[in-house]
Amino acid sequence: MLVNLALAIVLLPLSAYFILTVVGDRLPRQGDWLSTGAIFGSFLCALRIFGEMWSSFDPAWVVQKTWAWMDLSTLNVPWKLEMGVRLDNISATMLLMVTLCATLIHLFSTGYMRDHHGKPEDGYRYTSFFSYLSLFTAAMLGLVISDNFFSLFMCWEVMGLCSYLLIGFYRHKPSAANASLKAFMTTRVGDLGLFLGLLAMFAILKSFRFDDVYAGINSGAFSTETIVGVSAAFFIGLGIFIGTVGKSAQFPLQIWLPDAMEGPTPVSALIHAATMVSAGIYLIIRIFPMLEYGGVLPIVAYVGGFTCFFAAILAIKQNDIKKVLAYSTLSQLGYMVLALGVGAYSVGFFHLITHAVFKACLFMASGAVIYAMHHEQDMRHMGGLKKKLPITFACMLITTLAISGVPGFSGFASKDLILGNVMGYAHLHPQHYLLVFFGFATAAMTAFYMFRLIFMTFWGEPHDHHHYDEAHEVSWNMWLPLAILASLSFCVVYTGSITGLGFDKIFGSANEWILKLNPAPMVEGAEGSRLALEEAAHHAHVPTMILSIILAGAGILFSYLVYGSKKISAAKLESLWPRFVQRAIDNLYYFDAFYIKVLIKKIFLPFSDKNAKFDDAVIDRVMVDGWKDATMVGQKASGIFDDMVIDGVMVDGAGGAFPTAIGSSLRHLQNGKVQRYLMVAVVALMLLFLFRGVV
Amino acid sequence: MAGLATYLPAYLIFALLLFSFGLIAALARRSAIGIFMGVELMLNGAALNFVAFQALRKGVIANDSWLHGHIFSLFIIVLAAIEAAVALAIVLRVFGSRQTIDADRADQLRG
Amino acid sequence: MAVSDLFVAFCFLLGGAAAFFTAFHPNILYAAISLIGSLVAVAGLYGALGADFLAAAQLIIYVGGILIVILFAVMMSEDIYKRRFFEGAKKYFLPALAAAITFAGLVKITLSADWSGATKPDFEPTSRAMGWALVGPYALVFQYVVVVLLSGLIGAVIIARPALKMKKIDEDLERLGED
Repeated sequence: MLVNLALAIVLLPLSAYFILTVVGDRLPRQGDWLSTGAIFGSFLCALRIFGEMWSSFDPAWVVQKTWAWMDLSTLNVPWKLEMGVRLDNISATMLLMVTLCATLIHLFSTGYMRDHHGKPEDGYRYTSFFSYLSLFTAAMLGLVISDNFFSLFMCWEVMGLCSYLLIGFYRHKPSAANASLKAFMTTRVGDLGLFLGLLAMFAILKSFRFDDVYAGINSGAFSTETIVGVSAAFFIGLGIFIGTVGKSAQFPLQIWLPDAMEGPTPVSALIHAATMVSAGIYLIIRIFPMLEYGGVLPIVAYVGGFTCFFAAILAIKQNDIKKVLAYSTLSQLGYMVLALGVGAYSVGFFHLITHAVFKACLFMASGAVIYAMHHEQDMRHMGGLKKKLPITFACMLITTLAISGVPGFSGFASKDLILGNVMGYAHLHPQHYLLVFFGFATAAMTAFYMFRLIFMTFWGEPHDHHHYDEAHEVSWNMWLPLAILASLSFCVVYTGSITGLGFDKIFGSANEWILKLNPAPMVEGAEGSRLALEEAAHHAHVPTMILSIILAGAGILFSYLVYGSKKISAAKLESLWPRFVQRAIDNLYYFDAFYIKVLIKKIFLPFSDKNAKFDDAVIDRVMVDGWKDATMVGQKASGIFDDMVIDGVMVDGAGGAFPTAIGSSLRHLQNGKVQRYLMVAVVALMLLFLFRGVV
Repeated sequence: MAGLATYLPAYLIFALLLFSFGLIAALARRSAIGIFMGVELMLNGAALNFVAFQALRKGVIANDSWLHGHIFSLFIIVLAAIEAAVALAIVLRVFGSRQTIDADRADQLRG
Repeated sequence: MAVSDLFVAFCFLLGGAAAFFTAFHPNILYAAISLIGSLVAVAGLYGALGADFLAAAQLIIYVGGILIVILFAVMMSEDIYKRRFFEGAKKYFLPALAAAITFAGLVKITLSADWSGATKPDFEPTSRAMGWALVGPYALVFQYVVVVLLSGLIGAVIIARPALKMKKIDEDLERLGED
């Protein structure tokens, strides 16, 4: 029953996608109601599943069903791929969050994308937009209900595709087209790691299922094998974590996410803030035992800590309202990764949920502002919108308080727990105190830059009177989602207590459910360190809380002084930064420059060029033409000898010519002749034979 | 030569032979139709393998009364039929637009 | 030596020779005609392996359908006796080498495996069993193939139809090619 519901959750948006793709333009209102209605149906199903989970309040609650998808087993050797549905506390909660956010964002889009209403022949793509949204939602939900890494990976890739399509939705804009390519290519690097990790996992375990993987970890299946000199568990864990780094835009693959803001704002809200980027976090939660077992967790923690700190610095300097939110997303994702890295995965998951809700609201509110300002995104041209957009302002203020970690709001509860756990971790491992610094510095900066956004946008005098005068509150289908999400940004929704401190319970003790989520099967012996962490975090809780409240308050106050009351000049403040830091920040720490100028232009392209020259000079002229002469005249024995030598060198890969062979293949890859493509594949097969000693 | 009909490697090597000749045709033929014929040969070689395994290695595959090998080969034949239809359409199209089916000259996707 | 052994040997010879001509015959028309030999040989081997349904399907679909389409394409699109399409020897060098190495490698792998315990093919009619398999365990795959077939055919029609839009795309491609 529940399994059928879970399948319905995925199939509803998926069928909406197909219908919209085929006949969407002929439907009334171009079919936006179909897409929205389908995802609302999914939401109802998710609510039912969540209710089931909630009523049997049990950390070990799980519903599973598995089908054989491909069974190539022989009588002696099992070899089969299975697909299945797994509902446990984590996936039920994720389902509810994703369907809720997606429903509201679909509703919001019906307002925001109204300008795109029109005939497809004239270049309007309203229907395409909704069909992409549906496909994306179906993929995300499919990822969440997967019971194995294989279907998870498939959905993961579909999401990557949807991200590409939606970032480049304004395809007439070159910047949007570039941004979509950049996002696709950057995440591809991460997906390669994920793919390698999964392949290694399957090679060792012959299964992708979560249960088998956990059982394999506990039975030590991953400790005996080594891959490229490291233990299999480390290799797999790191590979899968690299997938997360790509998808959740962590350091050093974070460069795509800010550019992804070229997409329409609902897309930014749905994909690049609330759901898709958190799929990476979800993946870490699923593979957590492997990370713990393989010893990848410190890497995870430092990547997360770095990301949250550096992204927060960048957010301070942005003037584009969506860019601020983009960097804040990076920073918050870094928080989650940090929490997972120190071993507090239920806390990381908690932050995932609260963040998704308030970040979706923030993005949509910024979308409402942008819409009201006629697609003006620069905050320096805004100001004083408080009176013009009262509902949007209220929602945005609530969610900003939430993300800043003010007591009584959801962000406080989750962020406070993360900081407490990081502190506890640092107590246990004093060499990792840097992580504590990252965490707290980010907390202060978050409050600062978020209130900077609020003050610049809603406070003060309008800077652009023309747009200001025309601005008016958005229609109901745009503010209603904001209101719903804002009302879910209070602490009481999640912890059942008003302040998030664990007392003043309203619904009784069962309401701290989110911290009692189904714990992933633990590695043997890890129980001790987990209890130690819990203990330490518990002790660190109160000082952490006080410190974080002080920091958030200081950030808000400082922000008020600079941008609200303008007691401190912002320009003067900026001049306090050292020059080189400023320049580094303006250039986004030179990441893009490094990737493009050094990695691509200096390494990949010259390599390929040089090989192309070799190819022209040696392979084509000597070998191919030489062979012709040899056959024509039949006397140039030395020519044949040359051919054989060169051919032998190229094929055998001896004498350092192996890279050249790769290079010439790389060049052939681009010459557009189909037969060369096939030839490359065959040469690869030949090389495989040669290296495996078959021939 | 006695027992050739039930000697599995003979079938496999014959299938490989078909595959290799198909590979040569697909790599060396200049006309698109020649390439296509090579692909057909390769497909036939692969399909023969499935049937040979099904007939001569019974009891190794689970549930082999479902005739997995035959079904697989049948699907290969069907897909080859689709391929033929699409290939013919493409050949006609390319020929119509540039009066040649030389695969080397249809290289507008070159980098 | 049983009759079946002779038959199989004959199929091997016919198929091998025909495949050789398919790959190497300079005239594309003769190559296409000799492809018939390979396909018929494979059909014969299906018969020898007890796959009666497949042998019939091979003859009907491949020899009767696909090959006709190929011949049709050859005759429609090319002046088949033009010298232009007679491949030179040099174009065969690398592919032949690659195919030879692939062949040698795969043969070596094949022969290195343990093939003892071979069973004999049984010669019961298979169409009943295949019918059940297609509506039973393979029902979904069957439907999927049907959909693929349908969309492939529709796609073929759309590609082949000289519609206005396609012309525009062709022009765009031409222009891109010139750039």
